[in-house]
Amino acid sequence: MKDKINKRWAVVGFIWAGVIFLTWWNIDTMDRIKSPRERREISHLESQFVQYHSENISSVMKKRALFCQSIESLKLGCLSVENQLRSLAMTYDFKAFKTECQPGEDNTGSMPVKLSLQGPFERTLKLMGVLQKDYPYLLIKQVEMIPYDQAGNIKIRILFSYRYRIGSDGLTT
Amino acid sequence: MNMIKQRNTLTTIVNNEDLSFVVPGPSGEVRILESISLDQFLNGDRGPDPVPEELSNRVNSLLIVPDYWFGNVTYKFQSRKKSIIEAFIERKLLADHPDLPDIKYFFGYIPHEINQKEKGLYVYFLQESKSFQLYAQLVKYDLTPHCITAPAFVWGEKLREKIPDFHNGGKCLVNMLSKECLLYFFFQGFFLFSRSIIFPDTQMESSEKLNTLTYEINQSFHLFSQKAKAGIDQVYTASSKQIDAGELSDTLGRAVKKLEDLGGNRQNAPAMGKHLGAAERFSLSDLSPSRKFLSVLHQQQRKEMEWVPVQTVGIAVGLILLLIFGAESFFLWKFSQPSLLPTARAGNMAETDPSQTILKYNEALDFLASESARPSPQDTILKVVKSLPANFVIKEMTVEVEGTPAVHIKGVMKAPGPEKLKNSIGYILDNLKKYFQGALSLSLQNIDVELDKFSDMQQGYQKYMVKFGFNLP
Repeated sequence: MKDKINKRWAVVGFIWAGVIFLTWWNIDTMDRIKSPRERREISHLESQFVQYHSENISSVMKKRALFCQSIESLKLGCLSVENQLRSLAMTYDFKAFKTECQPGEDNTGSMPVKLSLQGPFERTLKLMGVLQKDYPYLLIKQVEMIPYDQAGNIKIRILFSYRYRIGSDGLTT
Repeated sequence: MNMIKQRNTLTTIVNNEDLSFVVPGPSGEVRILESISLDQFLNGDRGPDPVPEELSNRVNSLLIVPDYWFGNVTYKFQSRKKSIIEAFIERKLLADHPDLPDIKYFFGYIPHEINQKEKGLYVYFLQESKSFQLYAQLVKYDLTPHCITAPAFVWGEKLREKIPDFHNGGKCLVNMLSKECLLYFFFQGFFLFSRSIIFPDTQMESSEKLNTLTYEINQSFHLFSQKAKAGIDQVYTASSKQIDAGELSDTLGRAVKKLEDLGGNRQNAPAMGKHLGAAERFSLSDLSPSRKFLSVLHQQQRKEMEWVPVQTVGIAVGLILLLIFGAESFFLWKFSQPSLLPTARAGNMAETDPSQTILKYNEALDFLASESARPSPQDTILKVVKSLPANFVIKEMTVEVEGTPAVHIKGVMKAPGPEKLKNSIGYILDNLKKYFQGALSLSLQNIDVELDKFSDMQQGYQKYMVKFGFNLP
């Protein structure tokens, strides 16, 4: 009798184990079916978003690209920056122009550039405005100003972080 | 279904030191498969195969033991809680029968009211030591009985069905068999005791038998009145050819009713037949498990049996769920085949991944937001210059944009005295607070002032070296 009861319990246990296994298997299968569908729906929504906002996305991406200059090599990048800064200094008639570019060995995407020059205070402000507006890849980290005469001329030292990206699409100015 | 069940069942009957195995025949009749000596069966003297092979696959649905193997007693007991009642009965039985330790496993009880104020328990139990041995032997040979009863309990149930006022007063049943007469006494619907009157001489004349029977019945009436403190209300007789109910009525001096005259069901069902003693008048339907005659079962087995419906329901529900979930699994498996799944992914791969575009777009927005939040050095310098009074000459100014944005200024301030100097510094602070709202560390304590040692008092003015710095908001 005891054996029979135990056997029946074993049968009950076996059947219910089967029920639990099938429940788990069914849920798992449903998840497996559901996941690609959800992915497809999300992908569809993303495509629609990209499609409807393509102009805005393109504009933002272009703006973002301006914050990083595409160069072929670090040294060429340095030369390019020095050239641009020299050109600006000449445009605004600054004196005692000096730059110091220190390309490191690791391509971290940015390198320090030091600029020293002398000139009137007002033009210094204009120079900084132009740098901020037209040269967004030259991030100003520090500005040091020391007046040295009564005429309003000052010595300026600006420390930049030059942001670059090594690429083959040439120099961008 | 019931027929199949019944065909696989077996009834075991103990009669006159014999153990009989009774099985239903193919056409519903009763067949005694084998009768063996009870003592031999109990002592294991029947060799390696003590039970017929034909019984091996049958369920022993019932064991009928002689009436005297059962005892009964009525206890006054107020509680109706099962656990308390059972513990009480076990304790009582063990106290009354210390030589029968197994008595606590084989008892049954019926709660009832002794009178209007008192509650009681009618307890019936196996009291014959052989009964425990027999149960153990049957278990050993996989013939565990599903219930154990006595002919008196089966008669009790039959009488309950036929006699409407069976629960009132005392009732006597005279069951005449070929070689003996069995007397059953019931009080308030409960079996009290039975007696067996054996007629030793089969050639005994009918009148002699009647006289003997009348004497024994009258003696039993006295015993009944002593036990029940009440008299017999009605005497019934089961079918008998030897003694007529009318004759018995005359000799007893009270009405005797024939049980057959009272009607009832299953009149045509075949009886067990001779050689089964007290059980020979019962049909298979009388002994069906659906009948509610009193019976006992090993307590442990009873508890196990209580789980059988749970198991049955568990198996049935489990199988139904298994079937449903199995069908669902099959459907899902078919549905999850690669050919049925959408092939959007392959198409998307060919185009630019929109999620990558959105990711880059988000990164670009974050970057532009952080850039726009960066303080402009040009604006900062302009605001600082606007904040300074005319008597302040900048000697050095540093604007930090990275890390913790801050401004550091060194300068010379001309003032006629400390009071005016203080006013000028207050002016600077007020302006700075106006232009750089939220800037921390803008207070008088953060401004370092000292007298310029290398300058003399000129035109009533003194030069002061002023140095201060503050973090940009």
